Amino acid sequence: MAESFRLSVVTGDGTVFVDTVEYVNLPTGFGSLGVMAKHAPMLCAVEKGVVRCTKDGETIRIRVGGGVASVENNEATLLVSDGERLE
Amino acid sequence: MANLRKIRTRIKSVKSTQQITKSMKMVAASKLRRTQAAFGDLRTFADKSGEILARVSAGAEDNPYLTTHAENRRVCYVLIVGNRGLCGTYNTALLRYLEELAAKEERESFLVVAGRWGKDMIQTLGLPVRRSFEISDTPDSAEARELSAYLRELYRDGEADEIVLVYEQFRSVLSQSPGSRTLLPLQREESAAAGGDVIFEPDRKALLDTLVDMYLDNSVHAALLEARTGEHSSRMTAMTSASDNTEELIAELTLQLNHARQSAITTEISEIVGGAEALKN
Repeated sequence: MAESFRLSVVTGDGTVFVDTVEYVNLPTGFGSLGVMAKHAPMLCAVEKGVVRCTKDGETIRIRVGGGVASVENNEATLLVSDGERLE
Repeated sequence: MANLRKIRTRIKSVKSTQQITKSMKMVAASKLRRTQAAFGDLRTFADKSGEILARVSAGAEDNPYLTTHAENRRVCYVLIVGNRGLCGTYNTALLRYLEELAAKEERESFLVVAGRWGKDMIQTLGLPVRRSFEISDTPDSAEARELSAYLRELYRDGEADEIVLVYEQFRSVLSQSPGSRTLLPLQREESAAAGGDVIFEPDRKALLDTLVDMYLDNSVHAALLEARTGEHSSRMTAMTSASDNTEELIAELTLQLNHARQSAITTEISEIVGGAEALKN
């Protein structure tokens, strides 16, 4: 099994999603960007779109507004204007 | 007898007032809980974005909101008032504070108002009101963004050289005090973790622009929530003491009523006894 890391999606109105995941795919202005565990520290602008992450082989989709993603110490934090987990 | 009836109507009207103050207190209490929860939710976001901003903005000079204007002539006060009255001195104290602040100010100043309370009262300050915003009782991030976008525009277009938020700062449920905070130009927080080996995607400039916008939206949102939390707790306190007062008044009136009724009965009995005595003779 792939190594996992912590992902949290936070908006001004509360935390939308917190869990450990194995893979995250972020929508950015220059295409989508994949992040896995032990990624180098990175700050990245996130565009409006859908974030896809994988946990135990299942894909979870989260709709997000524009914002910023911070990846550091095996932890990814998305600060976005709004967000909602899609079923 | 007329007196008795008068007291009874009085009691009735005090009781209905009490019903109103009691329900206003309950409503304020539940709104207070909601704003406090929203404030807590925002804190995680605020802490994190402040941290990241400090890191990205270190040494950067190329953002319009981080740089001060060469000329500093116009100041914009953003007055965050309550939506309603009946909350003690909450609004009036704030207005008095702004009056003092504006009196000391030598630059040209104007107002942006957020909240529904006291349009006429605000006019008496003699400061031009540029625009008013409607803010709900539990402001969400969309409302904050609208106000923040307008303020950013004012600063960017040079309409204002400094933007100051004026609102009741929340100390505790029992105490709020009027205060002010400069929103723009943005105060830079120095960070120990500046720079470092961080990859910036797409680049530092674009990231900084996004971050600063978010940080400003956030600051406005926090101020709105703080002001509303204060408003609700101030109203709750005011309505609690109003309910207590009506309670006292009712007790006093009931006592008066009993006195009046007793004396009416006594008079009646003595009249009957007197009549009977007269018949005997």
